[in-house]
Amino acid sequence: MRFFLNRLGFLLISIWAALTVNFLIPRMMPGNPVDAILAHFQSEGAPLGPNALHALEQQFGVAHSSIWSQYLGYLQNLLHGQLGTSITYYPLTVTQVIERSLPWTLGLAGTATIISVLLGTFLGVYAAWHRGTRIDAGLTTVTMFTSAIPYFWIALILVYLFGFELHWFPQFHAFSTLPPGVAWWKFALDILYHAVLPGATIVISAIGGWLVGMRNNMIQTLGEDYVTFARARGVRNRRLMIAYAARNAILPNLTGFAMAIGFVVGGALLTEIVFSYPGIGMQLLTAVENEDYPLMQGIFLIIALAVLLANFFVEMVYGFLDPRARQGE
Amino acid sequence: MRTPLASSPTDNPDGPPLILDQVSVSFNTSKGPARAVNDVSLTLAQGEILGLVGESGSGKSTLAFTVMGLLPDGARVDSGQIRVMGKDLYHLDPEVLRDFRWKGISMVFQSAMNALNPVLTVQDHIFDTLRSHDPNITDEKARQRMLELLDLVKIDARRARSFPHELSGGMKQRVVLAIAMVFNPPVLLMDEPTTALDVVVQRSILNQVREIQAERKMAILFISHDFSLVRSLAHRVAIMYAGRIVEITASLGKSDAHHPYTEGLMRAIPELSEDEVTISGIPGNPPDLLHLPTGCPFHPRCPVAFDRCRTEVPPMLQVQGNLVACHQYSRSGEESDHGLE
Ligand SMILES: Nc1ncnc2c1ncn2[C@@H]1O[C@H](COP(=O)(O)OP(=O)(O)OP(=O)(O)O)[C@@H](O)[C@H]1O
Ligand SMILES: [Mg+2]
Repeated sequence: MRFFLNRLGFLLISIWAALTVNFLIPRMMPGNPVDAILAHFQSEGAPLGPNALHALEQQFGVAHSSIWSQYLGYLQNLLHGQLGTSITYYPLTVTQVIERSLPWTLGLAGTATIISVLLGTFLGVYAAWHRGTRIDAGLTTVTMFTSAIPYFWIALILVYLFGFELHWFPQFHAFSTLPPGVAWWKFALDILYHAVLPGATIVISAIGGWLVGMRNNMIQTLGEDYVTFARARGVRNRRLMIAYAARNAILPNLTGFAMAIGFVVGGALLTEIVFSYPGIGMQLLTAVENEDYPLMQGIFLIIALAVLLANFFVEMVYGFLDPRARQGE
Repeated sequence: MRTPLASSPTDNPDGPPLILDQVSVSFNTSKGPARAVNDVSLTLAQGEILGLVGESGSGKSTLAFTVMGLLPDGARVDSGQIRVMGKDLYHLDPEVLRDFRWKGISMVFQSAMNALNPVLTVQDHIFDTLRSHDPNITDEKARQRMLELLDLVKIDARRARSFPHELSGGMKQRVVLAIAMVFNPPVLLMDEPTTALDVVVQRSILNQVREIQAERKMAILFISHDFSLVRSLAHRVAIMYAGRIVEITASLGKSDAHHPYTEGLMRAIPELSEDEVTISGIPGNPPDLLHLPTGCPFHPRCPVAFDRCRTEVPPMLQVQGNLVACHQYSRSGEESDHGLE
């Protein structure tokens, strides 16, 4: 319990720090983002009205109030879920844009990451247990190969082979336009169908790292005295493999899991671009292309929050798995 | 039962609980096979504590793991026979062997500090051991057995819920001893059980071993490199050098006939005589296992070596009730009493 409160306190402080940094950075940028935005709108022949101008100035601290009152206003807006207005998708707010794209990213990259972590870890345990056999050699070689191929290359190859040549799976987008009134499960299947190729890209490129990492940790723990001692005591193979070897081998990997889960939100950028998948990564690209500072700021905030939450979650798991961590502090 | 050597191993379950007959073990290394255990014959009698002493690297742990049938990858038994309670572990069905280990023979590891799984409690360790051999044991029964065991090694029952990192070195060692005693095995191998502990804890654990042994009467092979410690504990002591047993002796008096290596070891014990402490050792180093000397492995360091020692491996000889593998005791009358003062 004390461990939990301790970590929770740490989480809250980190979130506050992230929010504050997010507030300060645009105010420390050289030049004035408001001017950039105005120029953008002017060049598009759609000059902003005085209200919009005022809102922008508020958001980027060009306003003439003190920085302290700006900060308080910023925190207050955040509490109400207000991240400002997107320029690209005007008049949609940043919150609305993120609300629309986040589920796609979480659904695709989140699921794919969890699959690759679980599958990679499981295969790593298996390979280590059967080390030196052909299965081990096969698994290790194949995943060394797949994790050496650049990520977007896998995406392009998959699109070309299974989308363009064979037409097994759609090449783009997250869903197709279906006639209205279609059954919900047909829609769900359609989404799944669209997610296969981008999901496979993420799994193929990520699984090798997990497999090899887990295999090497596991081979090390299999050589530990407590494993030999357990074997001497007659502990059965299954329990030996899971509770003695794998349970200890997984601990050094947990930090990596935290990073991977945290980067789900921002990390699927290339996959989303190749597959025109309407997730956060695509929105970030759009925001950068259009100098949409409010949207960028909102997305960075979401990415930071995701990393912090994932870390918190994994620390909880760590505390559950490793008694030494629970006791600390 | 004071016959130190059985002439041949038998399947007789009433015979000595542990018999090794001409056992050799080698490790595959990149530079070729390294003989870590060389032609070792030993018998452990019922209720006996046999000390096994030797320098670091002489093959003591390898011998213990060989007896347990737990040699690591890359090590293999080249020849010889082992019988534990009349059973040949190397020809048992794997499932029978899994069950026989710990019930018939158990072992306290050299590194008790690392013998416990860091993510499991003391209770988990004991329950795991019980359940691996009796899957249907009730929680109540397992708990009871655990409390008996903790009491046996004098650990507070509240420690059952402790994780290894919450225990001191001495407590870990006691827990490992308790785990080794789960099924009251007739044979117990103890590999340097107190080496990493301070003298006070060491003494209290040894007293405990003595007590438990007096009560349960199991046969113990007690491995150590501490000659004086073994001398006070064991009924007989086997001396190991470069993978070979060079002497098995019940008497470690200075006046008795010993292997020159044993004499060197005895001299290496610091001696408090009057005002001065004298420590003298054995000059030179143990041989490289990849390039063992011909003949007696000790001859390059032996003060009394002669021609035959360089060419012929000395057989075990009965000398004044001890077994000594040294040529000087088999020399004919005219060349005798050289270095036997
Ligand atoms: N896994 C291994 N691979 C190769 N050689 C090994 C291995 N384990 C031990 N050896 C070698 O076998 C010999 C005997 O080692 P062993 O651990 O049995 O000695 P020991 O008498 O127990 O020493 P210590 O007192 O240090 O515990 C040593 O020369 C060692 O280098
Ligand atoms: Mg050893």
